[in-house]
Formats: sequence, structure tokens, C-alpha cells
Amino acid sequence: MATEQRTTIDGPTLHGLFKAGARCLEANADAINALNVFPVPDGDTGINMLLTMQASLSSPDLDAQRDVAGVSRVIAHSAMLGARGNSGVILSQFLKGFAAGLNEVAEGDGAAMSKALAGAASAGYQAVGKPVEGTMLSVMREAAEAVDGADEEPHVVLRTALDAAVQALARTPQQLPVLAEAGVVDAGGQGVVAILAGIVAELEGVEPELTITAPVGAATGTIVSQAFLEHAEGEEFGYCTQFVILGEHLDLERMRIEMEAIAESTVVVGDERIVRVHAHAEDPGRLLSLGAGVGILDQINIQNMDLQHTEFRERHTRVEETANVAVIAVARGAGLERIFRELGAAVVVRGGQTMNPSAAELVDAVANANAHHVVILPNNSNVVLTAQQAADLSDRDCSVVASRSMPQGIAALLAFNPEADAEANVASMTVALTSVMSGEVTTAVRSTSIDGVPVSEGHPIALLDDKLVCASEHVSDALLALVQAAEPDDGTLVTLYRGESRGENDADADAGALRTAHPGIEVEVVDGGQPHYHYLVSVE
Amino acid sequence: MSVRIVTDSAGDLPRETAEQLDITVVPVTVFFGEESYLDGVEMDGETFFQRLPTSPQLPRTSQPSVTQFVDAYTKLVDEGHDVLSVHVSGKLSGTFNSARLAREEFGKGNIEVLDAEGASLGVGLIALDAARKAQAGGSLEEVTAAAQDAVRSTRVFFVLDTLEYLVKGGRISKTQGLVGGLLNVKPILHITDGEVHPFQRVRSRAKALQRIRELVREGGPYAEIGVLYATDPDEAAALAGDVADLAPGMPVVVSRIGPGIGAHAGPGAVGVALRRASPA
Repeated sequence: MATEQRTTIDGPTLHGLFKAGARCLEANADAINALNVFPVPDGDTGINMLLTMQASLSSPDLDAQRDVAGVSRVIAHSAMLGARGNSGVILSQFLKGFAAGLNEVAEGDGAAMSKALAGAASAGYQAVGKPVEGTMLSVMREAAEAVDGADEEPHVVLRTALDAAVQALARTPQQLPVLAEAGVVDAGGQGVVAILAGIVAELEGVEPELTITAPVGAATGTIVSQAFLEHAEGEEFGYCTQFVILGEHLDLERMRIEMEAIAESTVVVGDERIVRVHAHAEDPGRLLSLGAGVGILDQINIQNMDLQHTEFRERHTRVEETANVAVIAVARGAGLERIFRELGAAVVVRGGQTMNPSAAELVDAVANANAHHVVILPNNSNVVLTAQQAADLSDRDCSVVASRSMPQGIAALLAFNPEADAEANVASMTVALTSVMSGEVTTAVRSTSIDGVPVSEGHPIALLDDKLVCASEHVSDALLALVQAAEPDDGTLVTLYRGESRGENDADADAGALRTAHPGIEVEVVDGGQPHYHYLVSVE
Repeated sequence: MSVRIVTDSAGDLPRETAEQLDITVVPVTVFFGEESYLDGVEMDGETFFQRLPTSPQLPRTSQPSVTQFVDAYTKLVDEGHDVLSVHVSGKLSGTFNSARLAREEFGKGNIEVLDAEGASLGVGLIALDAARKAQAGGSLEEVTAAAQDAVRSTRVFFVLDTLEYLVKGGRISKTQGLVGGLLNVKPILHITDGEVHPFQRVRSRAKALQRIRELVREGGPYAEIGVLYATDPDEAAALAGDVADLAPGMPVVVSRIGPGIGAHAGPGAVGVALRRASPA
């Protein structure tokens, strides 16, 4: 640890600083996840930023880089490929801008750090169509502005930037009323603060200090997010091993060190009572034994990545002829994946709610689609930016039709005509997005209040086009309220994609109740098989 | 010298209509296993679709032979007529080719053979128009020129319940994702450049029929409209009633598709043939 402060930072030191930033983010990932406004199980900002940050440090070329320009460039490139979720994409853009600010710099002084932070903030704003104040963008910007023109030593500059970021973060609820009502600060902004805090602590030779205020009504202890257990894989060897350890006085740091020694891509997060583990290992048994030695194992999920990779390859080598235009879709749930394939998606990338694919996975899928032009359907508002990043990174001709939900994606895919050219398809698919309203019935993951509606943890809630329409005791009632809010006419087609939590009989009964409440509408029940969401609903 | 029109049974003209206008319909042959039937002569559409669900094997079709055409041309030329022979798209069937070979084989009289670049009433409406012009005293040159215009101004849209028949018969190439059983997706197809192409996919048959009504309305007005159907006469009559105002003064030609087309369209098929007024 740096006890004597340096006047410049060289490449390996910068590499170490980013590792420290990633560690601090990792230690706080769960708490950041809990900061989402809507109590729906998709607010995995912490995990998405962490996976992006880890991806940024994954390149084997990194150790060979001696100067800060090289280190930051490699980090930025890996981050762009590994970016998941909107927050991950914006983080990767920060890293890209940071690298641009250090272009051709061998050893960075304080002024260089200031310039790099300014580059980060500016690149972030450029990446987002409509920048919103009170988010990670403004937190980054205020951090950069606080050190504009500074020429002190690097640790002073970065400390000043961190302090400004902390203050900017504290102001986010004043800037965004939804944050104030939910009683949270912005999750992405908190992620930026966590990374900066890790970096500064490393420079100062101390442990990072970070207090994250749990949102109003947050479940006590760690919120066990499925995201972690289910996130998509970027690497393709060994076994993807995920599990939870329940215990008392668990030593997180020690477990992390032990697991890193025997596995790749390890993520170990949690607290002293619950720890979640994700790792890629040749021998998953050793990881499990480590966990079983200190606590009780739960939610064990092991997948053979070699096999997954082989299956993927086999599925796509059958496509011999290069199509003119192909569609790739992001979907989650066996039924929905089948529907997208049946409707002609060349590749279906598994992902969506709580499991955002990385830009690199989408770039791979684009290549596998074997077409002159590829249209990406992200099918989730938190995948749209990743898809755009993938389209930019891909060497293929690529477009994104920004479907923000599964129903929108299905409507867009129905409008796809393999015989029409790319331009015509993008136009007709984009128009089709507006032909449906998208709803969802899920379970609140914490108690809160939205638009004045009180929401209780564990109770069903219904959202229509991203607006809360109802908090209820029963799934059936929430669904009725959802369709009511959509104001259906005679001939309106309501499609219920039932999730894995909703049985066929229950769904048929719910459909019957809808027909009774709205004679004249058509109701179809389809097995979507998605997790977390009792229903995804399209109204057209 | 008066002109007579020859077409084939894939034009799906109602028999009485063809007889009234002296149109000679050369039948396609349809096979159920080893048994063969002349389309519209030995088996009509109604019988065909009754038999289809119980048949262990899918029916096959065979274009009319050169001899069938030579016989038809011989009769008309011997009676002193010129002949315009209008046929189902050469890209969908060998019928047009048979007719051309027959003309060369026969080697007598004035015979024009025209590819209607369509199917079902998309051919039938062109033959009808040509026959009316022939009855009005048009020369072979005039009638043929008008029919060539009609080929350019005729469109066919149809919805199928299943693509099974079209695919097995090799009448469409790209079908991936066209029919979605999970979401009850129905394809609307159209015939352009003489080939069957997907036009649009729609959730549910009711919505597909609604879309066809819209398509008819968007493209109107027309010189003549045809409604073709496989198994549901009431549905076809309702569709015809809804679009009749778009071809003022011309009753909608409603026709059950015969075995020749039915073997490729399958049960549940319904569609429209639209002939716009030829450009002056």
C-alpha cells in the first residue's frame, strides 16, 4: 500500500487501483442492488456494474501494459465487450472516456487524472440519448468538475473527486423525485462512488469506507437476488458454479481469497450471514466443499459451459446459407425463447430481467446469426443500451429495434419479413413496437410507495408500460386491474405469458375472469416460463 | 375471326361463369395415392376438401398434358377461332409450359399463350376480363394486350391455416417463422412476380381476415374483385359483402378453390384476387 504518496501513477499502479475499485464495488454490490426504485426483481445495478468492472480487468494483455494509456485502453475495451445492463454500458463508456483522457500518457500526474475524469464524464453523457441529472452521469460529472484544472498530486485529485461524487450522490433524491419517494439514492451513482472509494482507499493505504443507506422498507439483511445465480456466461470452459452459503460470522474476505485460488471469474458477495458465490471452475466440487465447510449450502446451480458452448455451436452451424437479414432476440423463459425461435429469430440470447446479457454475448450472437444485416431485439429496457453498444462493436452491419419488453419484441418480430431489406424491416418493426401495451404482474421485493400507492413486500404488483397501476393481495386481482388500466375495446387481444410461478389452471381461471370482466376482448394464455413474473401481458 | 379464351383449372373460375363466357377450362389432375381425378370435371372443391382430412397421404397434382392442350386448341381452331390461353404462373406450375409446347406442337391457327403470373382467381379474373373483351368483338391482338395489362394490375392476398401443403408441394421457399403455433400466428401471403411470398404475419385468423379487408380497402377501387375460399362459404360471403363497394357495378366473384389449388393451399384457406382498372 502506498504510504508515501507518489507524484505520478504508472500503468501497473493504475491497474492495481482499478482492481481495488472493483473489490470495493464487489463488497457493496448487494447493497447497490437494493437501491432500485421499483420493487421489481430487475434492479441489479450492483451486479451489472460489478460484472462489467470484472470484465474490464479480465484481459490477459493487461499485465503486459506498462503505461497508463495502455492499461486504461485495455480496460476500456474489455469493459465495452463485457458491459451488462444500462449501468454497465454507461460504466464502460466512462472507462472509454477515461482512457481517451490518458491517450499517449506513460505516467499520469494529478492533471492527467483530472483530464481522464473529465473524459469519463463526457463520454458517459455522449453515450446516453437523453441524459438525466440525478444519475450516475451527474455523479461522474460533478466528480470531474470538482477537479477541473487541478494539478495537485494524484491522490489529492482523486480524493477531491470522490468527495464531490459523494455529495452529488446525496443530492440525487432532490434531483429525481422517484428516488426521494422510494427513499434511495441513485444506484448507478452509488456504484461510481464505490469504485472511486476503492481507488482512493488503495492510494491512501487504508480500507475503503462506504456507508450505503438501505432504502425505506428494504428487507433486513441481504436481498437474495436471483441475478447472481443466473447471470449469463461469457466464458466457455469448465463448470459455471453458483450457490449461496448460509451461516454465522462468515469470513467473506477469506472465502474470496480461497475461491479465487481454485476458480476463475469468481464473485463472492454478501455479509456474515449469507454469501453468494459465482465462479467458473474445472472442479465445482472443491468450491462446494469450501462453502459446506463454513455454512449451509443453498440454491446450488452448476452448468457445464463446455456443453453449453457445444450445443450453441451445433445449433448455429446448421445455418448454412447466409441470410440477407436476420433477427436476434434476447429472451428469458423456455416458452418465450421457443416463441422467438418459432417466429424466426435466428439466435435467441438467454437473458432479460435480472440477467442482462453482455455486449460481447450479443456481438457473438450477431456473428452466429450468419446474415448480411442483423437486427437486435433487446426486449428489455435495461438491455437496450447494451444492444446499441454491441451494434457499435460488431463488425457486422447491425441495427437495434429498441423493444423494451417481451410483448414489444414479439410484436416487432411478427412484423419481420425475411424477404424485405434491412431498412424496410427496421422501419416496419419499429412501427410495430407501438402496436402493443406491455404489462407485468410480479411480486414486490420490498415495501415502498410509488406515485402515492403503498406497496408491501411479497405482495403482487402490476405495472403497465413501466407505470405502477396496482398493488394487490392476489395475482388475479392485480391482473384484472392491469387489463382494466389498459382500457381494452371490443376486439382487443390480450395475451398472457404465464411465468413459471403461475400454473396452467390458475392462468386459465384468470383468463376466464378477464373475459367476464371485458366481454368482447380476446384472451390468449401462452406458457412463457419466465421467472419472477407471474405474467407478462401484451394488450393490442 | 372471334377470339376464345382457354385457361386451366388452377384459375378457380366457377363452372357456370366459365360456360357463360365460352371459356375452355383445361383440368389439372389431382392424385390421392394411385387414384387420379380431373380437377373440376371428376372432382370438385367440395368433394376434395371433404376427402382431404381423411386421406392418409397428401394429394399431389399434375399439370395438364400437352395433349390436353392440343385437343383444346384443335377444337377451337377447327371451329374458326383465334385463341388466348391464360395460365397459372409458370413459376408455380408447369401448366404454362405445357400450353406453350402444345401451341408449337399444334402449329396451326392464331394462338397466344400468356403467363398470368398468379394463381386461383388471380388467373381467373384475367381470363374473365379477356373473355368479355372477346365477346365484345375484340381482336386477338386487342384481347391479348388487355390481358397483359390485367396481369400487371392484378394482385392476390390470402391467408392459410397451415403452410404444410404449400411447403410439401414446394410452392414456397422461405417459411421459417411464418406460422407460429404457440401464438396462433397466421400468415398473409401474396403472389408477386409469379411467386408466393409472405406478406405479413398476424395474430389469430380473425385478425388476419380483418387485415385482408384493410388491404383490399387500401388498394381500391377495382375493376373486379374475387373472393376465394377452401372450406367456409359463409366466411367468404361475408368478406365479399364487406368489400363489394370497392368494385362498383361488378358483382364479387366468389369461388371455392378446386383440387388443383386446394392441394397446395389446404383447408381453411381464404383470400382475395383484386384487379384494378387497367391503365388507359
